[in-house]
Amino acid sequence: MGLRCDVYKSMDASLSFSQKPLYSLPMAYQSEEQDIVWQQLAKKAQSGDSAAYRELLGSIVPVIRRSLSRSLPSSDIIDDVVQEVLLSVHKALHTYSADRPFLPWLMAITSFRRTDYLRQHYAARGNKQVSLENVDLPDYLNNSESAAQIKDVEKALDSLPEKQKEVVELLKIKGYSTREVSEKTGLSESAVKVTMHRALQKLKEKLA
Amino acid sequence: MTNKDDEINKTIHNLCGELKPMGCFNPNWRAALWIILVLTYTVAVATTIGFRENIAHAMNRGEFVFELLLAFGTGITAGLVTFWLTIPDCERYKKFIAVPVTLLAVQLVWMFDRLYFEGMGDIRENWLSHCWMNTALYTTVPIFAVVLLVKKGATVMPCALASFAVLSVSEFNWIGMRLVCPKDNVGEAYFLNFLPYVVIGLLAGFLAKKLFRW
Repeated sequence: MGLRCDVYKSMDASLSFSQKPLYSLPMAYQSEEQDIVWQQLAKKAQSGDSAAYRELLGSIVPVIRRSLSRSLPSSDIIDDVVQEVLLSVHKALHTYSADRPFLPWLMAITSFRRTDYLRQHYAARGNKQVSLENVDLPDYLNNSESAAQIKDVEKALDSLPEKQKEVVELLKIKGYSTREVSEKTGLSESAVKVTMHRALQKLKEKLA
Repeated sequence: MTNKDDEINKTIHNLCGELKPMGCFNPNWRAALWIILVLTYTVAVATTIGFRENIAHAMNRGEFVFELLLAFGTGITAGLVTFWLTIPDCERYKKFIAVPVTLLAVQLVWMFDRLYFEGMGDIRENWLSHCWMNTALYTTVPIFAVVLLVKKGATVMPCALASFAVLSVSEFNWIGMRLVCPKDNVGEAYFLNFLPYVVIGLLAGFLAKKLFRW
């Protein structure tokens, strides 16, 4: 550990302040000694020592990141939550008691913010959204098997009576609601549902 | 370094710039302050409204004193747990949650025991008037005080905190109601004087996450 500290110190000295990546130099949590260092830094930070505070925040980032990486999927999300945790540490610093271990206090905040993030993520159906850059669509034009399947579906659709075909197109392909299809076709809503049901039955028989 | 690394570094710089010396948050002191405040307030309100005329007789009854002591114990322990949950590393206090919960369970068993053997008893017709007014009077200041004192902390268990705060406020003010309300039958003492706290508890449950957000 002593050797590692020396390595970090020499790296620290060789970098100017503006070049220095604040959180990557100090070592991640490894032992009780590290926790004692954090306790002392937190105590100094509570008394207004911004250098100690900078060192503390810098040294906890890898620990927070590692803890979050077990449960969050992408590095972008992890970095966002790391920032949230840093802000929370700042807001809650006065609740830390310097005679207690620092890591449980930090991990409680990290876990709380991760849960907060996941709650919002699932509430916004974030887990069901895919960014446009990562859409994984099959290439129907070049894949001969898919193209054949599409042709079969098109043929089956063409064989349907005109009214059923129109309802299937509006409801299932263009994505209109039952009420909108009812307005467009002049059928009642229940008639639209019945027509759709019959059309699907026929398609099922033809494609079986 | 990536953009995200830059952002994290910038955040750290900004936070260091905002740093000011701060006093340490001590949940025990705050709990003691709140308990003293609520006890003083409850006695003050009871004195203002006027103690029940049969208070001396009631204090000689074992079951009445037992009920008061049980409520007092639940109120004190729930108050302590409330303030212990205001710090992020409250893990070490979680084992104490069993104390108010057990006392509350004893209280509920006692209530159902009395309900089974004594029945509901007479409930006055104008129950919505002064009983609920007294309840509102008893609860207002303790609720504001506990919210103000708790908001200074940083809880990671807002719902549990709100539940224990409501339990503590309820118990102290139930004691207050027992000191002024002359009727001790189950209908009056446990249902009529207890329902307002259930309403407050439900509201607090809905508001807890927003109220104690930090």
